[in-house]
Amino acid sequence: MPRQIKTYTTCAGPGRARSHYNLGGFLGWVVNTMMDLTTVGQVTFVAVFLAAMIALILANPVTALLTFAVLMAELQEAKDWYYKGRLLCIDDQEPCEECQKSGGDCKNTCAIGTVAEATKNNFDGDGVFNLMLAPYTLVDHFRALLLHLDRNKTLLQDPALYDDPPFLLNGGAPVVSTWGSVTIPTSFNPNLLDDPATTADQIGEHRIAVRGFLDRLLGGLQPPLKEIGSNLYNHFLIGVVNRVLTDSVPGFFPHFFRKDPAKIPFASPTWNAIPQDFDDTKDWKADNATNFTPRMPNAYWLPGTSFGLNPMFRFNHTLLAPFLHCEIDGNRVARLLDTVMVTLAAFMATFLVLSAIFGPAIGGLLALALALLAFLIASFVENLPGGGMAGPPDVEYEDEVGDLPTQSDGDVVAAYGRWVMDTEHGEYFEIHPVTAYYVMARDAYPPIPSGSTAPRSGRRGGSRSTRTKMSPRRWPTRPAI
Amino acid sequence: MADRADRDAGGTRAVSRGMTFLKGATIVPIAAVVKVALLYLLLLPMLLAWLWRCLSLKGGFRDQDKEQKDCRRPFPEDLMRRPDPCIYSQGYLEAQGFPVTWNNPDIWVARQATPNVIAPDSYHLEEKTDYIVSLQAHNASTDPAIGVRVRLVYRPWSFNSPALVPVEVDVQGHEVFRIINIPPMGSTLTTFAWRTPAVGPGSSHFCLQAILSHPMDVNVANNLGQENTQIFDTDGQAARIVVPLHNPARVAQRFTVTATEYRIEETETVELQLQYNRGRRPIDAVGRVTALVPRLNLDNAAGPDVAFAVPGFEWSKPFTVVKAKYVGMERLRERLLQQDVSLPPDFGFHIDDYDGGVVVGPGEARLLNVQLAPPPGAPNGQRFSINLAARDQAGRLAGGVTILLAIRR
Repeated sequence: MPRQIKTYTTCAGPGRARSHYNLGGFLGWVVNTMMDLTTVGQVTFVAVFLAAMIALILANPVTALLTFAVLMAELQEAKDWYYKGRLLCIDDQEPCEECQKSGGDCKNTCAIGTVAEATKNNFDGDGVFNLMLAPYTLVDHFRALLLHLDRNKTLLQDPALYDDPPFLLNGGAPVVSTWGSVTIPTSFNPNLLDDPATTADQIGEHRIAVRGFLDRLLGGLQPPLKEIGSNLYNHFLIGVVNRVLTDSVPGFFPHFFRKDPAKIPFASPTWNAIPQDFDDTKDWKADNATNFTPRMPNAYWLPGTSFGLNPMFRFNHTLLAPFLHCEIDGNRVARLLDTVMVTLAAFMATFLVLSAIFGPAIGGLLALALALLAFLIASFVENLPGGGMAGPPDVEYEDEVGDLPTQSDGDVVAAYGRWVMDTEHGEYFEIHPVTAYYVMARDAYPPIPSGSTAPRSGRRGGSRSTRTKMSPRRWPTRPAI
Repeated sequence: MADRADRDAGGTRAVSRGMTFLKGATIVPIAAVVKVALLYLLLLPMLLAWLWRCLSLKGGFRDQDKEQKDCRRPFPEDLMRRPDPCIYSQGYLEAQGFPVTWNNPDIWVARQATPNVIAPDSYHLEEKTDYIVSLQAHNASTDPAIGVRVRLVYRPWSFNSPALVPVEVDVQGHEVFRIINIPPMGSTLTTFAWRTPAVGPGSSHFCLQAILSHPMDVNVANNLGQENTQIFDTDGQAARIVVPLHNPARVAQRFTVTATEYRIEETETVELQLQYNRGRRPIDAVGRVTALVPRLNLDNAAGPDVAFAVPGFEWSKPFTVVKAKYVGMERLRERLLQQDVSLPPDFGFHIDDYDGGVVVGPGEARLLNVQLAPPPGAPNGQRFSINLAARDQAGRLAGGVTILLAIRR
């Protein structure tokens, strides 16, 4: 079996891990401007930026060389940040002792769960998949959701919670989601799963209505807030997960749901580098207690921005269950940046030589043509090995195994890799990169009960956005519960 | 001439402009910049479209997803850990030409009352008695086998009986499986509780069958093993054994029965060596070339992949994939393939009504009266391990039994 798997990312210790908001200087300005713009704005920005660069290059050799040096340095810094500075190591030592002994740079961990969303490629080439952690089942999570909705029924109808700057939910009016005979949070059966008279259709109606409610509670559809979810949404889910962790069977992995002092020493640099995600002094299971009023700054967001608690788990609106995000490393961004740097260098060298002969205008045009050719060749060469996408590799000698292994929703697996907190996307725990993957059982989801009409997300409930993108064709493997 | 003079003059002017640009004396040739800007604006949409196409890179799961319509998509093989749970499997070994025995070394039975006294065979078990069946499962992979499902069933003493009954059931009558973990290149023992059923007099003959399964099994052919043994003591006379032969097929089949004399050499040991194969992935061919180019590293914090560094620059280590496997079975394999397992000289082997084979009707069974006659001069105490294997007309192994024939004069 293969070992010494190639990975591209390394995590950074407390103080060195930075989100794009923490990037300073010219790079920080460019990245933050790009990240916070709409698509049209991004295209405009790139056009203006390129025009300015070209003008500076054509102006005279000194500005050209300076521009070239600045661009190359910034591209290299961007690459270093993306692959070495974006993820926070969840170890208090950097590198940890065992890593030092092995000569490695990271401490790996293992998570066992059911594949809730099979692997797909991100824009950066990483292969991403999600695990619903063992030993909890869909029933555990849905039961806790219904119970928590019922216990917080009054609170969730308080308009004051829906106008919580920077979040304005539903125009400041309480969110209500209706599907069939079910209305969340006012009219539903909180004991649905323990009621022997419950039908599959009733389960389906409840799930769709709850989905619609959560979709609207998520709020923050505009960047950058879409990454983090509204305070009410986060606090509600923290309460739900707290019920699962305390009401249900004992869990193996509480540290993947919550900052756990048993794993991360309290008040250590790592502890302090992770946003507050829970409040032990509060009784989350009390009636109407899902609200949490203190607001605090988040070191990975724009200065001056304050939020409530920042959950360490993500939540799948289709399954209605929290999950652990896992990523297999790809290096598409690195390849892209390398290609751009090669192109830039080719342009600069050609430009300086040709402009000495033909002048800056003709020299620039010819250099641009040659640079485009260099870009084409570099892109072609970089795309030969799969374009940086994490995918099935070949090795130079025959493997003994037969068919390519596959991954399906419902597989019970152990994912082994680096436990990190992504400083982007709302600061969640994840395993990144995954370096080993064990399948233990298949088809863990039960079949859909007959009569279920569950589509992938609610419509009448007002769903406009979900945090997950489930493929409709995968739905037939989904249960109604 | 005039044209040439103009061209010469034009060339001189261009060189002159270039030199002026290089000297930085004339800051911006406005007209040229305007021309470039116009050209840039014209080319920009094409450039962006082309860039988009370049960035829509091939490969990865997305393209595989398009090709593969179902939801079971390939997962990176180098991340997937693939175990090989296995057991002494007669079918698997015989398919490779090895001699086999049904006295399975990985399955043994003991009375629950006396768990340390192993029953010598699966033939002389007593009905309505509590037994413990022990099963040793192995893992022939360098990856751990997590969550291997073990199934144990029994069937009547026979060749090829289709009747399979779970050895252990729960209070509701459901079959009980064992889920075990087997370390890399290791083995794990598991047990089943078995209360033998009530059978007719003289019929307490059982064949045990173990089946292992794992979703990522590298080799599923070595997962089924059988234990089907009878001990027969003789004072030198021929032993007569009756073995039912079943034909579960829907057409009549002609079966042949062969006999070999083979037992597992228990004292022989084989030392395996862990061999590492190091290779480079073809997809990293470009990486090998680009690794020669130093990377800019201003903070001088050498990472684990750095082979060599000077202030400001670093060179990457060449990347190789490592695969591990155990080797050293070759000599044993060669010896087994060359081993003579034919019956000893003067050993009598006869089956009544056997004319180059026996025909069994569809879904029927036929009793084979087998006669095994030890050589006349066989000394007292000598034991023969006679393995009878039945094959269908296609040459497939239909079943087998092992007769441990002991001379007791």
